[in-house]
Amino acid sequence: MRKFKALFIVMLKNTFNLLDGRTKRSKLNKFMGLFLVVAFMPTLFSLYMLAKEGLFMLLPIQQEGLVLSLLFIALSSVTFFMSIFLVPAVYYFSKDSETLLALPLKPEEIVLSKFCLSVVYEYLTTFLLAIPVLVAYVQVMNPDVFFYVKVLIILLLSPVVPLAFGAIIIMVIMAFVPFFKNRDLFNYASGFLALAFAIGINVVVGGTASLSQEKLLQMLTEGNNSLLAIFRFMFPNLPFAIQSLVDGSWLSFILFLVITALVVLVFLYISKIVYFIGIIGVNETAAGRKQLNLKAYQKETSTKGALMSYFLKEMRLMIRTPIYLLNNIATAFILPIIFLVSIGGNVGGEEELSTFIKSIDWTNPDLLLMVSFAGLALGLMMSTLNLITPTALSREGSNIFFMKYIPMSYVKQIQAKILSGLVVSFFGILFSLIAAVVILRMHPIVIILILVMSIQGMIFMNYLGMIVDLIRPKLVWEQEAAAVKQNLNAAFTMIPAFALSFLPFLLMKYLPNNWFTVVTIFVLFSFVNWMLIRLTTRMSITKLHELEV
Amino acid sequence: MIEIKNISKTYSGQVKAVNQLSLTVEAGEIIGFIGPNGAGKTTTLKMMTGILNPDEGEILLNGINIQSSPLKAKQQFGFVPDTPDIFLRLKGIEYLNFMADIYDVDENTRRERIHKYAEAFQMTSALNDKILSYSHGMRQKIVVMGVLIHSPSIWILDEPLTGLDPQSAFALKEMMREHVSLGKTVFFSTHVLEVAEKLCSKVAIINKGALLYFGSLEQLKLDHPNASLEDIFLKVTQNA
Repeated sequence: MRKFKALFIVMLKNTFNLLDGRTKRSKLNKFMGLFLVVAFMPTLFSLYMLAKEGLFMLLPIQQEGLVLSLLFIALSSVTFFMSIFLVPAVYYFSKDSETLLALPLKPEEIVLSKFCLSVVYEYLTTFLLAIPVLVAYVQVMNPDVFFYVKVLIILLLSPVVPLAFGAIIIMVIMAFVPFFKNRDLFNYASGFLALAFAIGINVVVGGTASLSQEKLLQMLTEGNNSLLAIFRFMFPNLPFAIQSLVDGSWLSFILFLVITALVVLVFLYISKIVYFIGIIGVNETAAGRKQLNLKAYQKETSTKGALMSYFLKEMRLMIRTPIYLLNNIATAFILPIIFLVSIGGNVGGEEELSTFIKSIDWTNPDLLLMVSFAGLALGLMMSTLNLITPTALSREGSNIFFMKYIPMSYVKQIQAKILSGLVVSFFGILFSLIAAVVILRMHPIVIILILVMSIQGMIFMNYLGMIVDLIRPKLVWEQEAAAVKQNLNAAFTMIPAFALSFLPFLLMKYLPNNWFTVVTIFVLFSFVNWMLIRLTTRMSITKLHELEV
Repeated sequence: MIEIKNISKTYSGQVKAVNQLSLTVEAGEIIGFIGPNGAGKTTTLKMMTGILNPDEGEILLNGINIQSSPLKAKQQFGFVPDTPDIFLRLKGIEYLNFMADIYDVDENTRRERIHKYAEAFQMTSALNDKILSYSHGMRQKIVVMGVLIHSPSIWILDEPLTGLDPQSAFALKEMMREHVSLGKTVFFSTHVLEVAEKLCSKVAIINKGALLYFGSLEQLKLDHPNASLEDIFLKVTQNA
């Protein structure tokens, strides 16, 4: 137990000192933190309102516990889903794994420390989701004082069971399926599986979207449907937690604690058997050690020029790093596929939608502004979702010093990085357009208009992302995933991208719907982009010069 | 030629890593930069290469100021950092070709040099594999090859022999000697006193950011008669 405590404290300190990757906190960073909090407020508020309305609707039929059920099922499902990515990263592929193996530690001591670390990881999501709902619950239901004690303990323990189940599954796979011991292959496989799952969910949700509110309510209140049964099986402690909160039963609360403890014991017992089998040799990489033939040698050693070579280096590193491939590149293909599957699938089946699409007159001048704004939004969204430029420096990590000693200007290096973002964004736009053309049968002029406007959005977003990363690159990280996934730069670019994508549609009715407005917007964006490009150039020189590693 | 004039560097406004350091390395010299851990060796090398900016003083590489003309100055040297874990997902050959493009090496020359150095370091069959699959020593070799490919007149190497097998260490040391015989300069940090003794025309001993000795090893031995090199080193650094 002493060893576990020491290990856990070290891991905790190490992780959370690294979490933000910076020791100095500038005024600008503090401002950006505040901006992020403010930006999240509307989402949290809508969650609160949704819970409140739900409670008012369910109170008359005495089903108010359903809100808590949904909250905890959502929390557990999200945690379980996250564990598929978190467990391999924390338990197997983190840099400390090999060091720990050489220490006189029992497998369950290592696993328990890592398990507790991943529980702490989950608290941010848990509390962020739970607080708005619980505030609404407390306001409407006015529960007794014990509710607060119980709900706090339940929240603190809520990631335990889903993370334990996730970890058991991953540990067994790692121990007995040798294929997955290769970190890259594992990340590719799990990543694409998750994407397929996301697309699948989209299709299913698309299919149930036509359900009426009453029918949905009936489905949920019946309580014996298969979905809830699955959740009950997966998270057996949840029904007791919810019951103890709804009717104040202490017995249910104790049962919740007992089941949670039992799951942890089972998890530790299994980890004792399988953890070491899986982790030994996990970071080995295969190599062919085959000599290049003359033709391949000549091809590999051809001159490409500094900018092109730098761009190719960026692309190769992105494509060959699974976590970057999934987060930075795959989005260019995934969104058009989701669009095709969810809307395209319905066009054939649902007559209303199909007739509506056929009835669109693309030459109607009333659509001019809408189409232009759609183009702009497409460019903004496809460029922000790939996260390439907001993480361009962050992904370098501790290797960023390389940028400082080579005889290539900072401006040129940054240009190569932006170019990689522009290329991937452009393909994303192109694929989306192709999908849209196939489904919506758009007029060529409309296609050109969308393309032209989307390029403005694309340039804007890529340069803005680069500026954000120049201001606050996250260079200290343990695993590549942290450079992209635990990087707040993503949020800083996504919020303006969402705002700029939707705001024009709200303003549309106040603007004259003619070519003059379209051209004005185009010119305005060209000017803003020109300013951004100039700013990026200037900041490339100053920020990289100041950067010391 | 390397001219370091009164450079200082302070971290976080408190820790003085390098303090008023000055030295001049003439062309045709191999300089061993020696000092205990945390003495300021890597900080000095990082300032010489433009990775860090000195708080005061200036550094000239072949007469070019690294602060005022960074691009021209960076063309003068090749740098081997202390950790070779760089661009691990590139293949060895891709890394070398990338470096050749960055330093503008023409096609025939780069092919000739890659072939030559791959043979010398026994890396021919590993070039087509990702650097990720290399051992520490092999990674060190590929980074060294990335420097040699553009044949810079100044070599700045941070612990270049760490992790190299005896054969490759020998090859690199031979290359260093050959390089200075052509009137060029090698400046490298090391912990291994024997290497400095056998290879260097001069040594620079640094501790707590200050230069304690700069001159030939012969002179240092004359100044401390009947003492081994290790004893001299301990004596010099302890008195700092």
